[in-house]
Amino acid sequence: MKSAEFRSTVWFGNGERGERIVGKGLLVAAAFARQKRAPHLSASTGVRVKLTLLRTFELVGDGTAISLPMSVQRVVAFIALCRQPRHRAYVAGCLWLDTPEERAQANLRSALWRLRRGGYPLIRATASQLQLDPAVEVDLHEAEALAASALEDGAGPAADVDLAALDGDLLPDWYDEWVLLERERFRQLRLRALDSLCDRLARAGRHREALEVGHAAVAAEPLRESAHRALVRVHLAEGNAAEAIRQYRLFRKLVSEQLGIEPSARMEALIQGIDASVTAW
Amino acid sequence: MAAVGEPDRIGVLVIRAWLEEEEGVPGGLRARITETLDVAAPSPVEAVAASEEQIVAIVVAWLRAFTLRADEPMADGP
Repeated sequence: MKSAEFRSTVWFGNGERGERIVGKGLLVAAAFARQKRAPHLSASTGVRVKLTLLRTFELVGDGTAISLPMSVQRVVAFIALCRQPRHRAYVAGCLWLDTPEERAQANLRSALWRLRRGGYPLIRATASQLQLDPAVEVDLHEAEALAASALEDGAGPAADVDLAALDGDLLPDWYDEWVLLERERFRQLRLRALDSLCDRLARAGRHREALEVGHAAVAAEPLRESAHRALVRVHLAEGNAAEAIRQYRLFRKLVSEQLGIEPSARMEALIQGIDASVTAW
Repeated sequence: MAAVGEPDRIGVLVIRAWLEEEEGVPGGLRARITETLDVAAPSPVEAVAASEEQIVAIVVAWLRAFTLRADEPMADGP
């Protein structure tokens, strides 16, 4: 495990820009082993194909990175995000919004041809519809399943949590509308999952893991008070009042400098009652 | 979320807004705004806000910057 600083680039209303250290903690991605899954093999080729959409676009076939032109990457990513068969005209229309329909369809056919030429039949294509081959492993789909399980009512925390799966945005440097909407939907899902996971781990007495999850939630959105409160609660549950105070002060400084506000009464109530000798530190 | 401009120059501004729970009910407005003036050469900048007025000011400033930039000649154009 590596120690890391979580930084946030900010731009204030008065035009000033800056970078803030918003928290310090463990690099959560390295803290947990990934859950083992049986490899998915394409029925037609027997090739194992893994598609990465979180943090960056990456396609790997049988352990070898497959390079695709941007136009083909967009087709693959779009169809992977659809999760169900889509008409060719719909796909072409969404991907080439400002292009005449005939030209958009031709662009789509060209992209599909380039993909097939590479020998990796990622997309099942009929005359009218397109669908991702179910054998393709998609990291986003796995992360969504993990988040859903973390949000299940009454479920306890898994014995081995794959936190790395909840530690990245969907294609962060893509600006297509269909990516923006999916990115925000997944971002909300993972934030809620991290909050839930942090609470469940703390209730189960797994404080070290709860702290790692809590730090991941803070790193995802440093201004969410609920994530900072969860960290304060975990420190207090551990009996570590000094760390609880440190986290509280970090949050108070953050919202004061960036938003010009104070922590809420709920946050203040959390640290009230802590031994005065600790708060004087 | 907004996307405006000519097809070959598109700016994007994303407002992530949420309400912090206060006294058990949703209360304080918070927002993180990510903006870029040209998605073809993205240089995303983030701003944060804690009121409707601050959010509106940031959006207006971005629109002004985008409009001014739209008057500039294209770097790769004729």
